[in-house]
Amino acid sequence: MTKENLYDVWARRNPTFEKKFKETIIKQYTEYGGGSVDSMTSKGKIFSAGYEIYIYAFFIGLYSNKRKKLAEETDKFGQPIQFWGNLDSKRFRKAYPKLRDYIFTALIAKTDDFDLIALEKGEITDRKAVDYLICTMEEYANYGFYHIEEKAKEIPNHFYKNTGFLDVILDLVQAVNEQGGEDTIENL
Amino acid sequence: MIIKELTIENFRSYYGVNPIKFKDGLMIFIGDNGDGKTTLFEALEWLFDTSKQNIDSRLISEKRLSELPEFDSDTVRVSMIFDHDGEKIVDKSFSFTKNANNEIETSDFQFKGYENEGSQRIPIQGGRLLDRCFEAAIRKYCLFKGEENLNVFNNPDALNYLIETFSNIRQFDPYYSSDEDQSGFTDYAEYQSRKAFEKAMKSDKKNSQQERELSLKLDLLRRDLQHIRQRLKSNRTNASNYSTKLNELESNKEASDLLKSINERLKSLKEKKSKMESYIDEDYSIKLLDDMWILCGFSNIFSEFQERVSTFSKTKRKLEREEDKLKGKQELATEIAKGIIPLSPNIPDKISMEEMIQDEFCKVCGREALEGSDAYNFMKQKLADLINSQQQTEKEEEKPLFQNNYVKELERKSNNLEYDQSEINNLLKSIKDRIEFNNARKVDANEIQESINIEEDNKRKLLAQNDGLTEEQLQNAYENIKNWWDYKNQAEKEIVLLEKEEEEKTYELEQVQEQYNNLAKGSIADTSRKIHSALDRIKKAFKNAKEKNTQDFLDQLEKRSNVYLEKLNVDGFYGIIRIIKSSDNTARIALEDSNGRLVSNPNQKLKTTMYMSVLFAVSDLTSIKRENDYPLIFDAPTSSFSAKNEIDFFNVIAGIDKQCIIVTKSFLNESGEIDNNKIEQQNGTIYRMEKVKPFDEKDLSTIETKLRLIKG
Repeated sequence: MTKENLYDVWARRNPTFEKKFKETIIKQYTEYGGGSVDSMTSKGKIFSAGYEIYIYAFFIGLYSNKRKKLAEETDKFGQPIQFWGNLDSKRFRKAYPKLRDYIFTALIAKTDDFDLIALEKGEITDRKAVDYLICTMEEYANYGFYHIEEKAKEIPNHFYKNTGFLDVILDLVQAVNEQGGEDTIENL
Repeated sequence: MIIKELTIENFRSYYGVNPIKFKDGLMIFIGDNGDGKTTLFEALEWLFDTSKQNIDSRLISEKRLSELPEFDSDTVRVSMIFDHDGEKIVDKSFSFTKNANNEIETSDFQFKGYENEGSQRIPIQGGRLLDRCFEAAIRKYCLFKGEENLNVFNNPDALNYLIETFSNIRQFDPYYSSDEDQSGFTDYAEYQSRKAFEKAMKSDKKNSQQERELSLKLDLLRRDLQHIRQRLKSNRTNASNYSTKLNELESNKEASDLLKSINERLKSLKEKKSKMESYIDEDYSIKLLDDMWILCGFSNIFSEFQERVSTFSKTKRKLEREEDKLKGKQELATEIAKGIIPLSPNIPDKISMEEMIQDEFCKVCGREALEGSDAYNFMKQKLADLINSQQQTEKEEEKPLFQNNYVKELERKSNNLEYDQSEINNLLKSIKDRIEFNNARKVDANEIQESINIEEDNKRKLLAQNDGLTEEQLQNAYENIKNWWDYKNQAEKEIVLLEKEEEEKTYELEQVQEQYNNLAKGSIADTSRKIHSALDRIKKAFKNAKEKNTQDFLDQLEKRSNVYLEKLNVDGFYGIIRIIKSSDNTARIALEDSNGRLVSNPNQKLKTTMYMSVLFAVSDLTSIKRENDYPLIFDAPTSSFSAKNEIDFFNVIAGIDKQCIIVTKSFLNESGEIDNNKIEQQNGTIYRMEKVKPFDEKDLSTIETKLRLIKG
């Protein structure tokens, strides 16, 4: 009997987020809920699919190494993870399927509850193991959403600047690297 | 005429009585927009107008009006003390009254004049005095508003006017006029004497046959000649008209060529810029995902992942080994108990074993092993063990320690992603490079944009210089040019032919006339012939003298203009002024270079200095004629000049022995303050005119101009 890959089990999932971010962030910066790439710039949208800001929020949490438990009502995207980044049909965009692998590896690295030995022994199901991974993912992203919300409150047009999203990431990476004493990039 | 003092009272922004002392030489009135510069100019214009009684209530100071009690009156007045064969005064005024409902009534226009005779002051009507000292003809060449109205020859009659007024040509009028009406004495005398001569000839019966023939011929020739001259005149007018049009077009054509090249440069610059901009890709947010820039901080996390997978893998293997050891030990124990360590169950192999059992012979030790013997049974057991050992795995898998092998999946993922690690580690540098690249391209694009701005500025200037013409008009091919050229050429060809014809007919006429005259010789008409001949010569002499006089005047005007042009253009190219007179007695001012080529479109500064030079020259010539100078008054003549040019220009004017009054915005810095450095460098008398503060910019009744002498 052949077992399914853990990755595939994970990729079929649909992570959740706090519902309030749908209006305050997701619809602000993505075309979530309709629209085409052509209309994107005219509406001031930055990302196409709703999950793109989710990925971004996840990395904010990841690089900050901070999680936040999801409270309140939650919601999820229409597409499971396995389709994230398959953007070849969109104009001016490139597909980035490999980013899913990296997210997956990050979850393996950062999910303490994930016990591979127990999984190998069959003491826990793959489903249960993936639950832990998804929980990590959701909590990082949730922290990221709060971070974005705060930044946008502080400087309302921050994320509408060309370097808005990039700057936040670079700041976090720089902070991490400074701790680690590695190469840094000057603030943009 | 030299202005010595001007008093402006309640005239528009000049509230109350404002006496202004004038000096000879250059006088500059400096004021910002709305400070009352043009009003000063208009006050003079109003005073100098001797043609009508203008008592328009709009001339009254709003401030004075607003504070005037009901049913009270006051006066608007502009008066001038000037020197012109002694001190004289002109004083123009009217009164205004505020009636009920704030209605304004103006009345009592007065234009007074006074001249001193000995110690006596004699009153004289102001308009008359002014016309005598500063005649209307001169006033044409005295007041100039703005830079565009300096070309005195824009008006086609101007040259005639100038020549007739200021040359000695008028003195010829009683004696010779080129008109058909023969109003001049010599025209008249020649005509009458010819008539008398012809009459005398006709009465001479002796030659009547010949006389008739000749006089018929003469009549015909005269008619032909008149006809030729008419055609000549109309062709000359045509040629000159088309030539003027072509000249204008020529300068437009230059402008159009210039525009074309500017547009070409603009196009190429814009293409270059858009190419440069196409290199700029600032979709940094998208690149976070599409180019996976978001992984720029991922190295540590990936290491963490690899460590974790490797730890799991090690742990798993360790556990497996321990389990194996445990199993291995149990099996080993039973075998070791028999005292011999057996060979591996695989040796010998299954086929060999089956063969030996079949043959009942041990081919390992070379002895018989018959069925039922110990040796035979050993071989049977060994084969059974072998078969058994081959089925062992299946049996063991039934309850393994690890049911799953996710570690393998994770290790594979780790290995696959390992390939990209150098790229991931380089991301920060790539991002930095990309941003630097974009910024550098932006700098490039901005530099190109600066060039674009310069070209667009040039274009605007070019279009401004060719005012009245739109870009489209300029761009249009000059379809007319060929037609006009043809018309001009045709007219010129005609002129040549007609001139030749005229010459021939004139010669023929002279011949016939001579025959006619000869016929008279010795006859009773001879005396009449002699009288006519003498009068005809006198007429021709007057004609030549008048023409020479005109040409002399123009030559002088041109010569003097060029003296001023040289003075006014202290640096840079200036060329030579030509005053070109056409056959229809109009003239235009043109500029030539030293090779005699026309400068078709001089820049505004050169144009201004050129026209001013002509004005100064006109003023010189008229003062020679009148033995009296007059002031030249300019409102903002140097708006196209640079600050440096302006000061040089004003200083040159200050050195000219002429009362020259200039109202200008120059000498003010950007915040509207006087630039004292510039004032120090400037010669002449300088007044500052300013609005009295505070004022309400929306309320005219708060505006009041005050003058302050700041130099001289």
